[in-house]
Amino acid sequence: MATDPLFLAQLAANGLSVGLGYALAAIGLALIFGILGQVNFAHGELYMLAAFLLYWVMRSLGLPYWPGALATIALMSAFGALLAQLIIVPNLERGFEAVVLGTLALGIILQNAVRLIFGATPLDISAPLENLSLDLGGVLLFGQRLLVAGTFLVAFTALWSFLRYSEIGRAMRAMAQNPEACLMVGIDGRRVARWTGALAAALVGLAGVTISPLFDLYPNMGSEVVVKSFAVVIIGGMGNVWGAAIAGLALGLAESYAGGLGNAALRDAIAFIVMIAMLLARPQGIFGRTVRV
Amino acid sequence: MTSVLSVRDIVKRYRGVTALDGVSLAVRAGTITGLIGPNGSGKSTLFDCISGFQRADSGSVQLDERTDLTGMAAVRIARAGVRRTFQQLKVFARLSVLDNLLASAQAAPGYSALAESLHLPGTRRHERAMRERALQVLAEIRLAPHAASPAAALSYGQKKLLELGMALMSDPKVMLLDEPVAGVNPALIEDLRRELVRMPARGVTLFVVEHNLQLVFDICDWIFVLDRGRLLTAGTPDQVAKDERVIESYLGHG
Amino acid sequence: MNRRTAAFAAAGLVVLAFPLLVQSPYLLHIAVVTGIYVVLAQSLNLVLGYCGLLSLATPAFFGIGAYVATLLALRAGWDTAATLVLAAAGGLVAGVAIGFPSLRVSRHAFVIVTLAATLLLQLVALNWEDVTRGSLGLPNIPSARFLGFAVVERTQWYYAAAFAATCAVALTGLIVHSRFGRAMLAVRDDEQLAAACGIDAFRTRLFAFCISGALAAVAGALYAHFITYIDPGVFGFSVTETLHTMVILGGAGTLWGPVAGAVIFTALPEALRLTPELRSLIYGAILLAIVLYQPRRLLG
Repeated sequence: MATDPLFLAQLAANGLSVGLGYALAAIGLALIFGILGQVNFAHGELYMLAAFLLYWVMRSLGLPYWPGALATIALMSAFGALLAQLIIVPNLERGFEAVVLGTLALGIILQNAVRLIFGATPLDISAPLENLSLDLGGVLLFGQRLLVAGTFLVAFTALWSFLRYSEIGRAMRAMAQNPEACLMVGIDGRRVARWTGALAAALVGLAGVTISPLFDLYPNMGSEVVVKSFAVVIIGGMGNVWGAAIAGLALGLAESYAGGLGNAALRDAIAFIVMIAMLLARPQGIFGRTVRV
Repeated sequence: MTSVLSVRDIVKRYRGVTALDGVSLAVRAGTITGLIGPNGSGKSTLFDCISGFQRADSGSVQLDERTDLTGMAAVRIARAGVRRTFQQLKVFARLSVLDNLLASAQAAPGYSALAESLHLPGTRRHERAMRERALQVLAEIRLAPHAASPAAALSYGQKKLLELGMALMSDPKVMLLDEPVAGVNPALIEDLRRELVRMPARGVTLFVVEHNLQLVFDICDWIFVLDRGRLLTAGTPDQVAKDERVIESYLGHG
Repeated sequence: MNRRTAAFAAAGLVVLAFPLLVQSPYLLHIAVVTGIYVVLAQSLNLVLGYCGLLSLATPAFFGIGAYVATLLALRAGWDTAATLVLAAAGGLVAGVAIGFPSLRVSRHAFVIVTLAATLLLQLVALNWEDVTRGSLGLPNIPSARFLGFAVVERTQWYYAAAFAATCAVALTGLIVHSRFGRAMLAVRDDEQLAAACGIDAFRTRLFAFCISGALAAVAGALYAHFITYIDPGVFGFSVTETLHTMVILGGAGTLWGPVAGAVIFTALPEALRLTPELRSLIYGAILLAIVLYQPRRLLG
């Protein structure tokens, strides 16, 4: 069985699609770390929030999936800018502890607010591509998974162009490289922070709306995402956007093979094990810390 | 005379800028040795490389012509007997003045976190001895009345004295002092000067970076002059004072 | 000083006489939980208050202690004196496993790894069903039995918890007022200067983190024997905000502040009859408010 090429190919396809999801979920975290030097511990809860927002706009406002997803992303961006303004901006010059505790507190507030509003029973979002699948010579590709992969590619390209060509994107890159010099040439750090927050939340929101239809919705669904995202960010080099993308893919593949050829417990532990190994062997991550585009 | 510190061919580059370009020098035991040079000549970088706070790209550092310090971590270099101070004055702000001195003597041999935490008998005897020593140092630097107040409450000049006292507490072979009198008023400079010149008698060799040239020429036995990452010249205060290149380097791009 | 001694003596008397003053089993139950929280708060205080390090691993240590003690008591019938020691050892080992790779790198890496470890351990407890029975949890844990002497009655538990809390405070006090404690404070104040003094920041933090791990693990073991049922929820990340609220509002980096914090923030939600969700929500809001308005109070 293990040597069956078709099975191995299926594992690769699963791994790649899951890995692109990890990359999509983790990039927002890498962005905030790379540009602002801060760790967002509410990252997992932002993912959860996006899923529940989508559920809410579809149920209460009766929107179909696609416009619902768009509305969710818009709300998420606004929320990200608010988060940055509230927690990151006042602490740009202080130590990172305040931001860690602040985002942690925000995450706990979000989790429990959602639990109070929606209850603890798992909920479900139905998406149009959920039941589609594509048979490529015996290797099955699932519709929603393809949507996640496609979303990642589009989002990554868009992010790349944004950082490269827009005025605020250039300011973000400057901020990542030398925050002191930025202040001297008159770049408004607070504005960069708000934009970074909005962008990061929109990206993790994209992950939320595309990935969550594959699973149940429950208030602490973010915790698994946050572990994987932290692992991806540490493996890829803290704050390195390309590194996060590649590390996400690699982690997805590794988990798929570990789960397919080993067992499920190994699959869950692999992110943590690789993260620790990476810290011991190469603490700067594979690619080092820089926002390169 | 033996040299307590021997520095050979230290090179340090930052992204293409060469901060130290093959510096070699030897600090003789029992002396007060000065290191002067215009801003940006690499004095603090050299101190960083000797004390392990930065790693030199190449070159070596030896203590007592025996112990190789090259590439060692800062903590281990400190324990080997090389004590440094910082250009940006540092004391443990929230610790009491007395505790600052005691914390400085932390590196003494036989220290075990577990034994200390449990207050085992041997540790108490040692703690008592350290405390006596600290009180003695406090009296010498005339900070005894402030023993219990937090270091943050001291004046700038008093902190400078405390810094010196802390360095003394750790019983170093050599002290690297980075601008020991910078920003201090003249009266306190006199206090500091008195402490500095007593160091060789206490068995401590001094290696001093200082912009107050009057003080340097007054207290030093030997002076090295650094210019743009290279050793320009060296000699007794008289020799250096007469060297035209020294004046030129200070005036030229100081 | 005399007034202080008198205040402590009075507080000690109240603690000793508490079971005589109140007969309600409910209040005694809350008091035992408070004692366990005091141990946890001191565990966090050692790292957060005295080392100035953010750690999210306290629930991980708590959970490890709970599971180690439970499994040894349930499967091997061990005496509680032994399960507590083994739980503490588990906390120490976990402290090394989490602290050694991450403390070397940076404070950022450390916080991240502490959180990842907590979440991962919860996942393991959930999925390693052969040993932990997953989300079904492990019921019927024997109550504590020290060298044959059973602790069953609420009053007995009360004194056991008060004893544990006292030991935790005493241990923290001993550590902080030692030469090692001075090294911790020195590293917290200025890492570079500490290095120049020959103080190894990495070792100092690792040692403190491991002691903190052992303390939290003992708290977890006591909890398991007291409640007699555990499930993967013991790794519950939600106690983190409760603990941080207790330690920070009580006074991180002081000996008695976290004790007061633990008493107040265990008693208050009970008195107000808050649901766990609402309690977490409020503690989260308190924590956020501190970060926004009083960021200097965060660390010791």
